[in-house]
Amino acid sequence: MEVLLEYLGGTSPLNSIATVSIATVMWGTLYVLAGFWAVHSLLLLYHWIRYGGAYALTWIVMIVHAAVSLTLIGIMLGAVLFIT
Amino acid sequence: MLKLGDEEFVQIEMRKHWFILLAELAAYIVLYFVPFIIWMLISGYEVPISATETLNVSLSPAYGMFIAAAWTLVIWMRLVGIWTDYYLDIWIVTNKRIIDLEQKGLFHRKSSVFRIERIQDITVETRGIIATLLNFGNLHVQTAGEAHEFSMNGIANPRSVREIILKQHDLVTEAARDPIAKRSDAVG
Repeated sequence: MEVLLEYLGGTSPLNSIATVSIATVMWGTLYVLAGFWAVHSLLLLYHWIRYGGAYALTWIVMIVHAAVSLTLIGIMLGAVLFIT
Repeated sequence: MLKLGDEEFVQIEMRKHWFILLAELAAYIVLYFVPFIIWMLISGYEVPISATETLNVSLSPAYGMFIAAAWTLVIWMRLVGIWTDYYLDIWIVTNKRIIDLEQKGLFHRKSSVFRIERIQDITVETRGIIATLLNFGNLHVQTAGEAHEFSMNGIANPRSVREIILKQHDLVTEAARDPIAKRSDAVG
């Protein structure tokens, strides 16, 4: 990807874009996704607790959701840390 | 949660048939695999960008894992949202009312209540080979209220649900017709 960005660089306005590192883009993506996930999960938890009825099932679903999501976020974080 | 009146008992609680949920999930599951399939097809391909230069379409494992995990997270959140919407849609038939709780989206919930004694007509509709084989369909209930008809779409075993509702309707109308017997029963 850096090769492609260098190719697009030179004296064109794309120079400023070309200087943004991939690591920065990945960190930004991670923060945005993690933030969206946190808000989305809190909203889901609110709806499950208020309307879900069977509380045991509510907590099981939220635990599974948290386990899968946090694993994926952990993989993303690991990849970013490896690159940086 | 749901507040029941005096001497009101839940006869049956229903959600949409599991096939309805599966059909909606399947669309996103198929969508999930599309980028991976496209990547498998173009990976390692040499893209000519000039007469002398080519660009090798490849990705280091770390970048690949990041993109794959991000995409998986996005699709996972959507799947959980679909499951939540499915699970929070529920129909409850009691001995006095039919309660329709529908989650239309985040912070958008619609609840309708229909009194059993106002029911005039019930129609069962099963359409298609899958619905016939898996025994799910739509129940259309005509009432005497402001909302003349409401529907329960995609419920399992709609005929038995109709029988349950009709039985409760008969019990309610019999009790209303014969209040003396009802009072004697209550006292005795």
